[in-house]
Amino acid sequence: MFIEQLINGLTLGSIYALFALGYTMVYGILLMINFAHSEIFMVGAYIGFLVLFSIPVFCPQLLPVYFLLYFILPMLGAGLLAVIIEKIAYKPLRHACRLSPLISAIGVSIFLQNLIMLTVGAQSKTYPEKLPIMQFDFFGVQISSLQIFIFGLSILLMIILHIFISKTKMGKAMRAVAENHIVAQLMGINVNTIISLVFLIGGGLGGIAGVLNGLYYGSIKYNMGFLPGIKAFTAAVLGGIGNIKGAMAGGFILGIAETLAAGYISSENKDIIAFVILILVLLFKPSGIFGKEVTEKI
Amino acid sequence: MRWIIGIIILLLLIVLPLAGYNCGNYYAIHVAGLVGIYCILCVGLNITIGYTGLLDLGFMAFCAIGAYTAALLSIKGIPFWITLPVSLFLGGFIRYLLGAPVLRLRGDYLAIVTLAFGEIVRLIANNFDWLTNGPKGLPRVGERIAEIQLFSLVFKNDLQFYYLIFFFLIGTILISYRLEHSRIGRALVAIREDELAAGLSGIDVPQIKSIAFVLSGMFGALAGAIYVHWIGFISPEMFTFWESVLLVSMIVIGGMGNIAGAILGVFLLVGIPEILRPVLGTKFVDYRMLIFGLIMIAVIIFRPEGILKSKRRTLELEERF
Amino acid sequence: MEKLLQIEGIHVYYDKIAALKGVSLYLQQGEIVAMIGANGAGKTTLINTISGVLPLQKGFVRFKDEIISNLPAWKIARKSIVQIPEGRKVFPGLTVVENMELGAFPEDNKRKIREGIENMYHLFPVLKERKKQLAGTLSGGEQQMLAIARGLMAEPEILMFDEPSMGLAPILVEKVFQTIQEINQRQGITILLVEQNAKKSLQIAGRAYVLETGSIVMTDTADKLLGNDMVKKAYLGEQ
Repeated sequence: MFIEQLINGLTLGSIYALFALGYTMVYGILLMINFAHSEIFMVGAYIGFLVLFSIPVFCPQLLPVYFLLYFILPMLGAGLLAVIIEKIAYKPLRHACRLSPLISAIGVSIFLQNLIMLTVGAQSKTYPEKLPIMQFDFFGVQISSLQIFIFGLSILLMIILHIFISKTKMGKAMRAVAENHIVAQLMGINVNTIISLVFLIGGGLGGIAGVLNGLYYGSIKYNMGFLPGIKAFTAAVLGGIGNIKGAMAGGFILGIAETLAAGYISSENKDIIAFVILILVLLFKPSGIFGKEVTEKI
Repeated sequence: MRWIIGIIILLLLIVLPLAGYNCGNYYAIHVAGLVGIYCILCVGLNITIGYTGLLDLGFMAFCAIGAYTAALLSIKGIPFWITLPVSLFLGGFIRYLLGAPVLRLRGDYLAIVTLAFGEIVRLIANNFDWLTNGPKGLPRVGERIAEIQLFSLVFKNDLQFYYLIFFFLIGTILISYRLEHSRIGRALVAIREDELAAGLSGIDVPQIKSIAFVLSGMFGALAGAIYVHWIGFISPEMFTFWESVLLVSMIVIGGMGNIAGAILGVFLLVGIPEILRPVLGTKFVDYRMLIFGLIMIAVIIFRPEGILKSKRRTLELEERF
Repeated sequence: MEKLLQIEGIHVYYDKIAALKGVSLYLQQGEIVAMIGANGAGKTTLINTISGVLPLQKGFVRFKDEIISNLPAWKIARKSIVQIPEGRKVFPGLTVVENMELGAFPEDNKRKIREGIENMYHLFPVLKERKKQLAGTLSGGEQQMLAIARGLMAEPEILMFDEPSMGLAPILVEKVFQTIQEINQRQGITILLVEQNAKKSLQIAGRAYVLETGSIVMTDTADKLLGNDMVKKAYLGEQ
C-alpha cells in the first residue's frame, strides 16, 4: 500500500517537476512569476489531445511516429506559445515595476483559458486511450506501464536539460544571463535570444507535463492548469526558485507529499494541504529547502 | 463646479432607481445593486493594491468570511445589526492574522500567498460540510437567512437593498478617502515609494501596512455580509480565484490608487457587461473575460497607471523609468 | 596613424540629467589611452556608452569605418570591443573555466577556445589552480585576473578597463597595471584605461584625457599631463 502510494507520488511528482522547471527557469532569468505557465501546460495537453484524436486507427508499427507527433508537437506548440507570450506581454514591461509583468501574466492566463473554453468547449474532454496500457505486478505492488513511462520520460527530459544547461554553450549563456543581464551582453550574448530560449524550453517542458497529466488522469479541461500550476510553483519555491535541480527535487517531494496526504490524512483535503505547504514554505523558507548557499540560479 | 456635479450625480443615483423601479425596470435596479457591492469590494481592495502597493489575489476570501459569518449567524436568528459587526470583526481579525507574517514578504510572493489563502478559504467552505453545507451552500433546506430590519422597515426587494448598499458604499468611500488623506495615507505613499527610507524616517512600516491591510479586508467582509442578506444564498463557487482576479483587473484597468478609478473599473467590467447582457445576449457575456484579459495586458503595457490616473501614482511610475 | 575608435560629441542623459556633455576622443591602433577624472565625472558612463549598454542622445561612436553607436551591446562586443567592467563582475555561480569560455562566446571553434584558455593559464597561473572553482569563491585579486582573462578570451582589438585597481591590495594594483602594459605590448591590443589612480595610469599610458562633470577639460600626452600643474594638484595629490 505504502509502496504503491509512493509510486503514485513519484508519477505525479515527475509531472510537477517538469511543470515546475518552467516557473523556475523564467524566474531565474527574469525574476518574474510566469503566471501564464499553467495555461501553457493546458494548451500542451490540448495539442496532445488533438494529435491523438486525429490518429484514426492505432497500428503498432507506427509507434515511433506517434510518439514523435504526440510529444514533439505539444512540446513545440507550447514552447512557441510561451515565446510569443513573452514577446507580447512581458518584454515591454522588462523595466517596469515588479508587479506589472505578474498582472500582465494574469491577463494572458485569463485570455488563454477563455479562448480554449470558447473554442474547444467548457466540458472536460476524455483523453482517447489509443496507447496500450499494461499492468505489472511486482511482488504484489501494482504498477502500470503508463506510470513507468511518465516517470521514465520525465527523468530522461530532466537529464537532457541538465546536460544542456551545464555543458553546452547556450546553457552556459543562460546561466550567465540569469546572473547578470548586462555583463552577459558584454560577452556578446544576445540576451533576448536567451530569454526566448528559456521560454521555449520551459514552455516545452510545461506542454509535455500537460500531455502526461492528461494521460494520467484521462481527461482534460480548459481550467486544468490552475491547480497543478500552483502546486508546480510550490515545488519550484520548495527547491529554491531559480534553481533547476531544486525544482526537480521540489516536484518529487510535493508529488509524494500530496499522494501520502491524500492516502493517509484526507483525500478530500489534499489541495488544502498543498496550499498550506505553499504558504508555509513562502513564509518560513522563501529561499527553498536547500537554503541560499547552494542555490545557484538556473 | 466639481461639487455641483458631484451633488447632481448623487441626487441622480438616489432618484433614478426610484423612478426606474416604478417604471418596472427591475433588472436595472438589480444590476445597480450588484455594481454597488462590487464597488465596496473594489474600493476596499484598492486600499491594499492602490494605497499600499500590495497585489492581493485572494480578496474574495474575506468577502466569503463576511458572507459565511453573516449567513451562519442570521440562520440562528441573530439580527443583521449584530451579525454585521461580528462579520467585520472576524474578517478584520483573520486578515490581521494573515497579514502579520505575510506583509514581510516580497511583492510577488505576497501575491501568491494571498492566492493560496483565498483558495484555502474556498476549499474549507467547499469541504467542511458540517459548517458550510459544502458545495450546496447556505442556507440548508428548511433554514432561512433572517431579513435585515431597521426599526419597522424590513429590507426585502432590490430597491430597498439598492439604498442600503448605496448607504454603505458612501460610507466606504468616505472612510477610504479620509484614509488616503490622513497621516496613515501619507505614510503609505512613503512606504510605497521607498520602504527603507520610510522606515528610517520614523514611520512604523509594519504597523501602517497592517492597518491598511486589515481595513481593506473588513470592506470585503462588509460586502459579503450585505450580499448574503440580499441574495439570501451563498455557495463556495461565488468566491473562486477568478472572482478575486476580476476585482484586481477592475482596479488595474480603472486606475490603481484612486477611488474613482476603482469605481470606473467596476462600471466597465461589471456594469456595462450586465447592462449589455439582455441586448447582446449571453454570447457577449461569454466573451467578456476574453476581452478583459486582453484589456488588462494592454492597460499594464500602454497605460500602467490605469484609465483614471492618480496623480501620485503617475509620478511614481514615471520616476521608475 | 589611423583612428581605430572615434567618439564625436556624445551626449548621454540619465532621465533629464546629463552625464556626458559632448565628449569627443579617439583611440589609435596599439596605444594605451588613460581617462582620469573624479568620482561621478562620467568615466563609467563613457565606457558603458561605447559598449552600447547605455544609449546616447547625440553624437556618434565610430569603429574603423563603421558607426557602432546604434548597435546593441552584444553586437558591439562581437566587434571585439571588449569591456572589463567596474568591480570585476565575473559570473560568481559559474566556474572559472566557464567564465573564460563565456568570454569567447562568439567563437565556435572549440579547439581555439581550449588554446585560448591554455594561454590564459600561462598568463595567470592561479586560474589553472582554481579552474573548477566557482568564480564567486575567488579572492578579489583572482577575480580581477579572471575578469581580464575573460576579456582577453574574446581576442579584443580594443580592451576597455573600468577601474581595474579598485579595491585591490597595493601589491595587486602593481600586478594589474603590469599586466595591462604586457597585454598592450605583447599582443598589440589598444587599451582605454579608466582609473582613479591617475598616477599609475599616466605612467603606463601614451596619451590621456581628463574628464570633469561630463566634459573633457584637457588632453595631452601622458608625460605632459604628469607634469601639468593642474593635474598634479587635482589628481596626483602633489602641491
